[in-house]
Amino acid sequence: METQRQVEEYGARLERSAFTPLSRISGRYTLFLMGLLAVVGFGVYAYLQQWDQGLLVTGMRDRISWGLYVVMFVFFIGISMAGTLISAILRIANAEWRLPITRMAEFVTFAALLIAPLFILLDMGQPTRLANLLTYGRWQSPLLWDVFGLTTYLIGSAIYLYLALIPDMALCRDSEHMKNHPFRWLFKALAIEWHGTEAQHRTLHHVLKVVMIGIIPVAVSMHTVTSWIFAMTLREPWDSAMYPAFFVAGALYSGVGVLIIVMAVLRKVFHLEEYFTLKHFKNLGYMLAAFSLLVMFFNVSEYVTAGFKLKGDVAEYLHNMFLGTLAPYYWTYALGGMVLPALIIAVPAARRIGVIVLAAVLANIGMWIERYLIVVGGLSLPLQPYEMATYSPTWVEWSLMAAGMAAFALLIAVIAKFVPVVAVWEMVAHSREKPESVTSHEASEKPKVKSRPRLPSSIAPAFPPAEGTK
Amino acid sequence: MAPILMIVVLSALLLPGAALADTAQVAKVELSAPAQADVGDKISIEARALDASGTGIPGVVLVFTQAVTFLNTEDSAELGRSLTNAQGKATFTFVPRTEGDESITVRPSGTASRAKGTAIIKVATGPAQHESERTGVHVPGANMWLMAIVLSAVWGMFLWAMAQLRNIFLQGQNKTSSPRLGQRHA
Repeated sequence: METQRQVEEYGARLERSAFTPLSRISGRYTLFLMGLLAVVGFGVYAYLQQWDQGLLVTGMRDRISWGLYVVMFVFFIGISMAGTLISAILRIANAEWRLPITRMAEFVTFAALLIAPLFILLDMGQPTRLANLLTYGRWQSPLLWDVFGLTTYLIGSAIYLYLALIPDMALCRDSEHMKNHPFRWLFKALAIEWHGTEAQHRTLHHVLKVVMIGIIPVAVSMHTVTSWIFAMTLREPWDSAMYPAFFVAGALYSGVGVLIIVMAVLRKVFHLEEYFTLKHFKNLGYMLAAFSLLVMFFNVSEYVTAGFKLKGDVAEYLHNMFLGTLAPYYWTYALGGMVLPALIIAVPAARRIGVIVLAAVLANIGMWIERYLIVVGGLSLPLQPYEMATYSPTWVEWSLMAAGMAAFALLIAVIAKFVPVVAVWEMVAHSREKPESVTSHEASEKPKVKSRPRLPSSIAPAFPPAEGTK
Repeated sequence: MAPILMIVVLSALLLPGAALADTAQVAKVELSAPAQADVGDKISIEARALDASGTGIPGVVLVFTQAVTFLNTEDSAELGRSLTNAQGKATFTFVPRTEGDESITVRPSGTASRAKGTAIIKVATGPAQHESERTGVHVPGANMWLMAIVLSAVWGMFLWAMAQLRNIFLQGQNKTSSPRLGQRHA
């Protein structure tokens, strides 16, 4: 009886924690949104300059024709790996610790995939040139493969996100907390008559299983095709069959890093300390360290192989990267963005939430620089016997980059106000299947919160107690 | 003193010839190549850059290319370049390494002129056979249909998932006849 009471209390607490942010908009949240909108607004102003004067307002010229826009595209595509990895792969592996963070991982993927293609539009100069893709696009071009890959991945991720949301939409529809929510009609529509029947659970689990297995190769192929845009171009720095694996490893690394950062922010803002515990940060930290080792392996393998052969102008390129003008970028990435995060995680005393978040921030700064080195560094090597090409982004490009990041944060912030940031239904179901998870371990990590009156649980209609718990 | 004199003499000899013509003047490019050859033969291809009145233009860089394919992608690979002489003629030596029809195209370098000349040489397997296959790598089945099939399979899975949403909806409407999770049928 005591166990059942604890499980019920956990469910009620979870419901309150997950739904309260949806029904209340604080002044600080509004201020935060206004700040992000201001950055996006300045980006729109910068874009209007580009619209008016063309790509001449950027630092891109004939020799380095891909700059910050393509760097940001690759960066956001990399981040999008978070959802697939955490949600789909760990779901298949039945890693139970993932439960509170899957929803956020799916948010990150969805938001990143909405932002990434915008940078391609920016790179085109004029969005009307998108029509050229349809008029002159060739099936044989990796650029067109990337369009197909991105569209498929975006649609697949949206379906995957929505499928796992259906029971929570039903909870939003039925919850006492959401009674007067202005978008209750939307929750009702999105819940598609979900009442938690056995047949519905059976169907949902079956579809989820198929889609989560299917989304993994789609995600891997997306990163592979993005790497092929470079690897299939006749440029010596990109001339590597290792690029697809390198890109996938980099995507896993930066994706986990962004997830840690988003998790820390939402944990703080929405007071989700009970659900996003040190254990989650530690586990993601271990993954971050493992992926940093993988990225290190690819770095060593790539440059040692190329360095031993020194085919064509590779010597000049490697010299420029290790000792020349690109050296400050490369060593910041290699030491600060790859080695240091792994070292931080390796020290047991440093495995605290703040420090793990620091490692994740360093990892992402490093991975951004890595993408810059791939795109700009690769193009800086001349095809003709000239000196190395140089590139300096203009205020327009920096503004649009900042606007892209702000738009990403804005999307996450807005989605988090419409959808519970934790998968309530999965966590409640898990607590009923394994009551010890909330009565022993979770309870030990539960922060001290002021006790509140127990609310009537509206979870019951959608999640009646599992057999044996009555 | 001697090196300076040498530079002056060489400059006098080379500079007039080094002046490149404006390729925009090239209205037509004539290409003459043998109709047949064997693999390994050294073939001399002659091209002429002509202006609108049919006069040869000296100092034009002509680019010789060969048609190639890879996974259904048709493009051209540059074989080499040659400069036209006082009569507007440029010669280029080419050794075919594969049997079959070799499509050779010549055009002025740059984008100022769209003139081009094309010749097809029937290359037969001769005594000096180097390779037996055509230029490029032809993998049977590796074409756009393969990609269309893969994409269709993935999108088919998505459509199937969307169709299952309808089932969930219908199952919800018939909830009275279906027990909730954890409940037994009466």
